Amino acid sequence: MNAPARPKRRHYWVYGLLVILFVLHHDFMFWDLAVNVAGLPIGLAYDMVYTVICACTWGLVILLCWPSELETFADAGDEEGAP
Amino acid sequence: MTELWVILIYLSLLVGVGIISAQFFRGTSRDFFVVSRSIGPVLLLMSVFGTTMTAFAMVGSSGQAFRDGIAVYGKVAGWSALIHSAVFFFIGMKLWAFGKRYGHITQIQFFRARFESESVGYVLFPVLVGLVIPYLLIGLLGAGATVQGVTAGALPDLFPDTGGAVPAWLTSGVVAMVVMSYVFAGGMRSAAWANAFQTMIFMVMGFIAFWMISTSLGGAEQATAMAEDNVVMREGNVGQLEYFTYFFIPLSVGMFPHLFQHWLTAKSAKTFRLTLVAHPVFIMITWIPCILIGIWATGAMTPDGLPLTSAETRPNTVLGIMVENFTTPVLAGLVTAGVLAAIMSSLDSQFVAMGTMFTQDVVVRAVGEDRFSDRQIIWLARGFIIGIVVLTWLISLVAPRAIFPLAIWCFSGFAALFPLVFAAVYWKRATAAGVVAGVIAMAATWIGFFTASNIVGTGTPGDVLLWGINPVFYIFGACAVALVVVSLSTRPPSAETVEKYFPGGRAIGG
Repeated sequence: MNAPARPKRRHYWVYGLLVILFVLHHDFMFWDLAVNVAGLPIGLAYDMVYTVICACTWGLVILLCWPSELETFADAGDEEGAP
Repeated sequence: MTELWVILIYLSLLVGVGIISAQFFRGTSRDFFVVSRSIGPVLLLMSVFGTTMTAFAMVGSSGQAFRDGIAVYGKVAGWSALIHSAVFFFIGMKLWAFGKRYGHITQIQFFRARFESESVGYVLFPVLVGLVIPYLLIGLLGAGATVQGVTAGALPDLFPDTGGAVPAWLTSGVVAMVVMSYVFAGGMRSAAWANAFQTMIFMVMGFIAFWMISTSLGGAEQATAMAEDNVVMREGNVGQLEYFTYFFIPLSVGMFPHLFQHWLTAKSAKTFRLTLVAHPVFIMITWIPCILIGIWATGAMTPDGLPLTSAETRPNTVLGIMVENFTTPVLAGLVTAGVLAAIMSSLDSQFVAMGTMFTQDVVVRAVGEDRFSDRQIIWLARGFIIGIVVLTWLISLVAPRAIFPLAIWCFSGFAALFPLVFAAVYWKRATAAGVVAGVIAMAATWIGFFTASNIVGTGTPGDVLLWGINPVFYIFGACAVALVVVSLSTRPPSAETVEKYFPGGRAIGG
């Protein structure tokens, strides 16, 4: 008989990356710069890179911080007390 | 005329998708309301994205970029890229788990059960419905105005009063009928399928329009170089504090009733993974082309060398002007179909959510679930959906233009209610009285700011920035403070309820 799988260790430091992203949204450095990079205003290019980094960070959250116990909790009751 | 044919073909295809999806309807109320909690990752991503994006993602974004430059991306899309996924992860997945375990279908059911109180439902229901209705109205009005704009002169004999354009009331009616036809048949299942189809349409059409306009203007580098300097930077277009406090607005997704219902359709928690990662990317793919089209419009020239736009150009017409001048009539029709897709992909879920709320939170709650068969509950919901669609369309015929700024305020209203759902999931000491106080405080401050904005300006939140800060900050704050103070002053929830929603004394999922 297989032993029950141990829940994976969660790396809560990844949440710190989300806080850093929250701060980095405000691009003081390009605020008043009218420069274009590869056909994009530099502020918009920053926003694009920022968005891609957001997506990657959510990928990291899934890999390192996934709340696997949610599934167990949800499946335990089978809609107990459903209205 | 070509544009009109393209739009009609698109609407027919949409009805076709709705009919096909309804073939998979399992005939139970659980399937009608939450698709038997069986939606997979791709469909969840497409339906959630389609639901959260409105016509603003295409028409509004290009118009605002034309007027206020690139700042609009950071204010709305940039924050949404981070905050939406955060709300899906920290709130949506947990609500899905509660919904699956305890059988919740509507937000009100969740709040009633979590706070052991009928009053919470009575206070929250009218506020949520009241905030959704303007949102529905601008969808119908926006669809009408869009089609009227692109069909000018197409049918002069049929519609002489509008210069040959299809009148807005007719388009609104047709759009309402199309949406109603598929949600009537398959409920949330059809809404999810149709959303997926529509999401694909508005993303692809936006990108094709961008590519064709870019090519016509000699490439992105040249087009951006021709744009006015003031639109390629944030300085002068938005204040630092206003820009920062815009992060409150995307929190609204935590309290949208229609999004709550979409979350509950997920097959498992893992289903959310694709949405968490791809949602920000989808936002970027949809928004960046439209923002660029908007800023390019400031410097674009006609073939005769004359400026295409002026300071008097209305922002919401910018996308249409650019598409008309730099693409073909077929593409102009397809882009209009894309705009309609963005509008309808929100409308359908909202209609289903409203129908579900009136069925579950009002009738079934008042009369008792045992009094209805499953089949009767489905027909009840269908009846409410028809009623809401017809009522919304009738109101849209007489709604004043002021409804547009009111709808902008609705986002602030939903965002300001966010402390309630956050507390419901993470703060076991939160009480029903605290929630009621939070709702009342939010409503009072919201009405205060909204009224002030109509007295001093055009009725938009930008008219009433207090110390340069978006009013949503204060409305959110009022709700949060009232919730905390009153919760701490009243009796905590029962140990049984705390254990139900905080097993082992901790929030589920850590």
